[in-house]
Amino acid sequence: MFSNELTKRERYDYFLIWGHGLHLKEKIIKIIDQNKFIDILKIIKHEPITTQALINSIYSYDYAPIKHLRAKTRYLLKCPKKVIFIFVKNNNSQEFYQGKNEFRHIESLTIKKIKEDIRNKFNEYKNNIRTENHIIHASDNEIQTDHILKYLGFKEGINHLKRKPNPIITSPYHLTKFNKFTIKKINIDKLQCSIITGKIKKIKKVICNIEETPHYKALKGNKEKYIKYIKKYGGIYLTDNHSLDNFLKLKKNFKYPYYKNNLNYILVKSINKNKFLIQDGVHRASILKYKKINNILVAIINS
Amino acid sequence: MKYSNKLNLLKFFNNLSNEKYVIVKLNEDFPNYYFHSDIDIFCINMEKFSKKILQIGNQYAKQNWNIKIKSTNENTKIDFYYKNQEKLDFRFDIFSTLPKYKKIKIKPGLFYSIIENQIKQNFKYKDKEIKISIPSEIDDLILRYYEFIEYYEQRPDKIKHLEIILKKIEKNEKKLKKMIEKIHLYTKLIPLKVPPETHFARTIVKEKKITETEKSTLKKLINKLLLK
Repeated sequence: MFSNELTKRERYDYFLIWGHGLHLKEKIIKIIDQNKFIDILKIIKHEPITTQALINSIYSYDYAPIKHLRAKTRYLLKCPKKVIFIFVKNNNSQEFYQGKNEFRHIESLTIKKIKEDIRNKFNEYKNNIRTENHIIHASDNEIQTDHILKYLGFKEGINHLKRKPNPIITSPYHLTKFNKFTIKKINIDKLQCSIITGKIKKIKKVICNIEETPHYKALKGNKEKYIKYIKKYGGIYLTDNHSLDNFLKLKKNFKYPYYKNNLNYILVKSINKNKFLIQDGVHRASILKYKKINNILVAIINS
Repeated sequence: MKYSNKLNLLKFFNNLSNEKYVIVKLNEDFPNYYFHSDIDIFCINMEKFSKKILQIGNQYAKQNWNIKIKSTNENTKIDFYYKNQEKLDFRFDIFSTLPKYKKIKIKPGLFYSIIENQIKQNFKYKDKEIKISIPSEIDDLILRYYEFIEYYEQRPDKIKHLEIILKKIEKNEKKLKKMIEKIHLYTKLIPLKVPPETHFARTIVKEKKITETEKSTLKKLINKLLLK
């Protein structure tokens, strides 16, 4: 017998916005982001070779046989061949058993609630009835998340999201592992930022001062440049959950370097004696520069 | 020798009052410390403990101290360098498990037993009393004993630990009994490596691999014997 009690467990999930819902991307991400149990980790734009191949991959770990799903997913073949994956850390999965007999499976109530909320808001309505042409799909369990990450080319699967580059200080999963670092006070003008420029298929990384970044310019009033930057490279080269709203929220509640029981130092690597390249923290550095704080603490990654 | 005391160690430990930890082999001079010295700390949650050290450390970093951190899964070293000096001023050596000894094998449970059986020592900090966690007297003696066994060959100064042990248990049989009982409970002996060509050495006869021709000769021989 299975118990139907909700279990609180930390796990990794994903949401998928189908092609016909991409124009609602910002609104959907906002709803997901607003859930107190969810941390958005990675946003990826994806163009499958064929929609059918993507559907097959998405539903290959589903509980219903693919032939049952074919009718349900037929509408997707007519949608634009572009999707967005949103990978999240689900801090309170509230797992429960869904379905009957051979279709009985575990789902997360947290994910289900968000998914249904989005579907209720944005699915097409006919005669005041919500159609089942869903604009969003979500994972039922971690195996599906692991499978999709591998489908997208992340060989480590779910371990890609679980990575912790350093056990002591907060550092994003995409950094290389490091065991040694130095906390040092430096002049903010010694910081350099790496910014993406160029066409999507032929990008360049440019090293520049904080004042030259779209981030700093946004704080100085030129918000358009930052919005364009995120829109152009977001989901492809910038896969963190960046948006102007999030940036302004960060500025409003800004505390550095100790914030919400975590040590969120700007992480840098030394270029030479007088210059340090930011590995993580261009947004924070821009806020500090904007606030005219000249000397700041950084964590210099040694190895 | 003159104390360094550039860091206020009590300031750090005042911030650690909710943590489960013990300072191992606490120096009698504490909170005074000498230049280039360290303290060893056993704690349950190394990540949280280190963060709290760094939280206070930030205040020193703002005054141009450099803080170097080296962390593995079992140990974090937080080194404080005074205002761009190249020589270490003070180190917090934080362990989330017992240090690895080569000469003795210690059951991992001892680490938690030491933290659970901690006692408190009071110190005055800013007109209030703060409590520092240290191992119980028996656990302290056991750790000193391990330290002595492990290092006395390379560092004769480690004899100081033995002297402390003897001084404390000399006239106290009860303590001695307790200490030995706990050592027996948590210590395993590592089999001694016997130097070759000594009278302790044994020769192990290894089975020789037999070739196919040797095999058939043997078979013939056995058959012959059986027929007889």
